[in-house]
Amino acid sequence: MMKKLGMVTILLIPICIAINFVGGQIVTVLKLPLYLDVIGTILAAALTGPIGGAIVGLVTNLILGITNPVLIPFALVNVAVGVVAGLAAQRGGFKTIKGTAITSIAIWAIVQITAVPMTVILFGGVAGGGASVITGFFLAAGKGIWEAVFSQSIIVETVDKIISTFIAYFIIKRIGASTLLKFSLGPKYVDEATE
Amino acid sequence: MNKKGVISRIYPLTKLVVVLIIALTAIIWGDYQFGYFIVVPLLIFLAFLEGKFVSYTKKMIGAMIIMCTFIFIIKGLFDPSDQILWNFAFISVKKAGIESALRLTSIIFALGGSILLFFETTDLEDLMIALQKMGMSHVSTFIFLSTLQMIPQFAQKSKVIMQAQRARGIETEGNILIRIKAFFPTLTPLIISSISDIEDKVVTMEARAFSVEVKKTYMQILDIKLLDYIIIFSSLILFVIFLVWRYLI
Repeated sequence: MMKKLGMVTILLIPICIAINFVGGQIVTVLKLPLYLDVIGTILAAALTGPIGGAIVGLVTNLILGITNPVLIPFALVNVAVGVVAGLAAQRGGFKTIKGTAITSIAIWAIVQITAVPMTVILFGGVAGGGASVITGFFLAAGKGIWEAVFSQSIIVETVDKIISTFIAYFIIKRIGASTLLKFSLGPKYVDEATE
Repeated sequence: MNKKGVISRIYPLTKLVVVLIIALTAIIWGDYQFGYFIVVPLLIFLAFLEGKFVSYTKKMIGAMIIMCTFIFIIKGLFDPSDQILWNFAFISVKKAGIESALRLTSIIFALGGSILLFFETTDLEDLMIALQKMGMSHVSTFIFLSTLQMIPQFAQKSKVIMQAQRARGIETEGNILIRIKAFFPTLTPLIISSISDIEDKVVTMEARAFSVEVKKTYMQILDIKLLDYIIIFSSLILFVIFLVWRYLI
């Protein structure tokens, strides 16, 4: 599988993983109540397809796991984001604002489908620091564990994933045509720009 | 190279096998006493042998304490069972909840602690050489290592860009909308400039025959020693004995 990736894709992957990290760091500096830590995954998927996106997702969480092993299982969520974004991109999901909106809903949905069961089954409903307070709030209000984690996840993830997808869309718009053409899905975005 | 500790000198894959066996044993045993009183002290002792006692315990606590505290709170307070362990005013702590939280957190500590110990005592470059010798593609190891190089570079660059944008008049403080607006101008120049650099990198890498299908040579020498085989086989045998004892007797 690795052998089939072009040189350009191979060099894009580390950049996108670093974008995932830096996105999270900038969020901390700006004190935003978001994560914005999958922008790199979505960008790689949009430019090179599902395989590139999945690799970025996987390696991001493996590297996070070196210092915080609790995050390794959540690689599955990040890989799923990459695959869904990549499949959407192959069908032109990042070409227009409307397409991007639909893609962002698909990404949001896959995050809910993968992250909620993982949080409940593996970690008893706890998904790291602040968000757990929200889960606790719903539990105290008398909801079951699944309902509580699901409500928490909707509150925390919805805005985050939609903004992340749109940031990826606007970044692609800013990349010059000559650079875009080097990526396997790049021509999709260039045709649109010249029309 | 010579400053390595006792454990760092062992072949990376040997350590990986041992660490996985320790973690698996803790999961199969399933008893929180085993996790907390045998596995965790053992891991800390190994870190002590390596001379990394302080940094290892700090990392272990830093990575897992918040998560585990929340697991205790959520499981202990909101378990649906009736048996109550303690009662304060309107809060009641459930016995079954605390027990399942102890089991879960002991597994998290054993598994997470083993993985942390492995990376604490292993040079990532050594690990990549070992994996490559086992047949992993050099592309994968390249992606991994170049990412590790790139993350601190990006962090540095993003600070510079943020300062430049601030000088230009973009506000990075204020209400939440203003701060969200500052995110985009910080990230975009970083991404665009690094993506445009890709072409130069391709030329550089191809000049060194990166994508040519031949046997690669290594800058560092890393060999499996007899001791490594002894460690691997003895820990595998111990693990099999454990499995037999656990399930057959």
